[in-house]
Amino acid sequence: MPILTCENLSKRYGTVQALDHVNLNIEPGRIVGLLGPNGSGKSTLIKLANGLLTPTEGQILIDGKAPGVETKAIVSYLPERTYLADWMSVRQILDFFQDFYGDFDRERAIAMLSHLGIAEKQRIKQMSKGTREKVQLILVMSRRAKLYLLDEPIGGVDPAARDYILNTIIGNYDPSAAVVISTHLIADVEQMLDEVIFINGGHILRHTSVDEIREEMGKSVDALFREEFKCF
Amino acid sequence: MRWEFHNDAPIYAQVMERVERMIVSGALTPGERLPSVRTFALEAGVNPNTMQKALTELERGGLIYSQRTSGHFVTEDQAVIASVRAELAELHTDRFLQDMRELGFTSAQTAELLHRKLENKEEE
Amino acid sequence: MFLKLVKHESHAAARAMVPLLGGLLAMAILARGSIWMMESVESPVTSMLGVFLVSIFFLACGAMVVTTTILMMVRFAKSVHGDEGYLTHTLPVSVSTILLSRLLVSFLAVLLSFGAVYAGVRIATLGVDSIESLGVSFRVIIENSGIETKSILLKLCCVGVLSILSMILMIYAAISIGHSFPTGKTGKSVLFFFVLYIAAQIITSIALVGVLTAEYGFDGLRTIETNDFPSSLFWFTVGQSVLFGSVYYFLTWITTKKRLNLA
Repeated sequence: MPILTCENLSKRYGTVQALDHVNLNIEPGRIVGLLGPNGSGKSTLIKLANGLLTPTEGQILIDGKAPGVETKAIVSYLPERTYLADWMSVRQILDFFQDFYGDFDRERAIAMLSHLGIAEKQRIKQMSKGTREKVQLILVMSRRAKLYLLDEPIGGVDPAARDYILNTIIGNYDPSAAVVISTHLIADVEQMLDEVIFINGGHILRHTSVDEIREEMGKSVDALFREEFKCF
Repeated sequence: MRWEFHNDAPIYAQVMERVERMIVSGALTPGERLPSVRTFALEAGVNPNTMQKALTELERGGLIYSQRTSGHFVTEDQAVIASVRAELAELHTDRFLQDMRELGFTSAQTAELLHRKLENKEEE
Repeated sequence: MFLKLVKHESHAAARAMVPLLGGLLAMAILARGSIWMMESVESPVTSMLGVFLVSIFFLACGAMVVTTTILMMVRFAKSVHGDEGYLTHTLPVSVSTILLSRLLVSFLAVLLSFGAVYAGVRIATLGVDSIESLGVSFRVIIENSGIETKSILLKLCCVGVLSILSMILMIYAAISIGHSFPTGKTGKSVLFFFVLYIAAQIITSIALVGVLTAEYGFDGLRTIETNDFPSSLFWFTVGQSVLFGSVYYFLTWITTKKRLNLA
């Protein structure tokens, strides 16, 4: 059974059609790239899956259920922005995650944090922007969730941080969970994806495996993306 | 260090070739145990599913074998390694000849250039 | 989950509240000291300083309540409709659990600030004869008037609690509606606060006239004796707070659930 299903899913903001009758299935065990230019509907789709937005039409299902308390317990979400209160210390944030998420693996989070040399007593406001983003990713990837939704995890970070982030995602791979990574930096993530979804103007243009694109078209996803989105 | 990949072949095929070269060149010795799929995937910077697919394909070709609990091992069958070495040599020679044709070299010119280069190398 | 939310939200609120409370109590002690100085040393300098410190203390009392209210607004806007909302709304808890936890913490913060003001005043006037005798004479007046103090106090507390809750919910509703727009969130929150406030005032006035007219008749309105007020006014206020509070809660809930629009 798919972990994420969209049926005729539409979202309008006033007159702007952010998503237009999208149909989509994502299976467990897959690392999926949600690729599209800015404003293509990537974030809207992810926010709908999180219950941060409600559909205008159609439905979105996580593990067969509409977004709600039950689905939030199995979805781990990395938003584009830093959402941690800056006065909190690492320890307080670990407590917070442990209190609310039954699937949070504190040991794993601590191991990853200490690997980066981040002490538990350190406060968020003492950290650089890059470090905050890494801490947030560690928290999100330390949950044993069924669906990870990562919104632009490598936007605006330096190459070393990018490698760290991608390795953290691979290192926490779980065959029973799906990972959705939204990005417009395709070349950076291509080699770790199973599938790609091309999205633009609220439409799904393509949903195939990376191997298929490379095998049948003889080109990389990045090259194909550049061709298909040239006119936008 | 993440492995570099080129654009015109599937990632798993490139991972396979890379592992084949490691075995043929002796970087991985016969009977040696490979890293776990997860570790190997991390090393390459690829999806674990891709690494699994590459290893499964290599296993089908007999270059590696797996034991249910302890992972993947390089074959100890020298004949298999030798045939993979021959295949890789063919592949690279074909690529080289293809490139030379594209540069406008005739077979004779290519052969002559190759001879001269090889002689120079031997003199060094 | 509700208690965990309360725990974490209290922690966040306490960070700002504790220094405020500490500051106020320190001011109270200073004020008490200056009163003592005025009483013991007769000089224009000490009395001027004393008057200054005492006035500062009373200003601080007012500031305490205002700051608590602002703090409550900021916390709600930030943690439910701002950046922290990305975390708050992806927790496996329902919108109503989130709202009720915020309501409880805000209510406790308001109580705490009132408590601090009361304690501050008591400290500042500790042992000051004129004020203590004022309290005593006030008590004597009440006891002699034949009013049942206990039931009046109970009713006042009840009305107080309900009005505070309803007021907090009105602020929440205004912030939620204001933040459901894509732009000008803060400005629209303020605007909707006044819209809700004025609407509540108009409805209350009309209802009050209606209730009183129904009870006393149109002509009777001018001849109501003050003694009759408490009972009917009490029930009217209770009903009004509960009704408005429920409406505000519903507005907050529906906009947060259906029209969440994080920055």
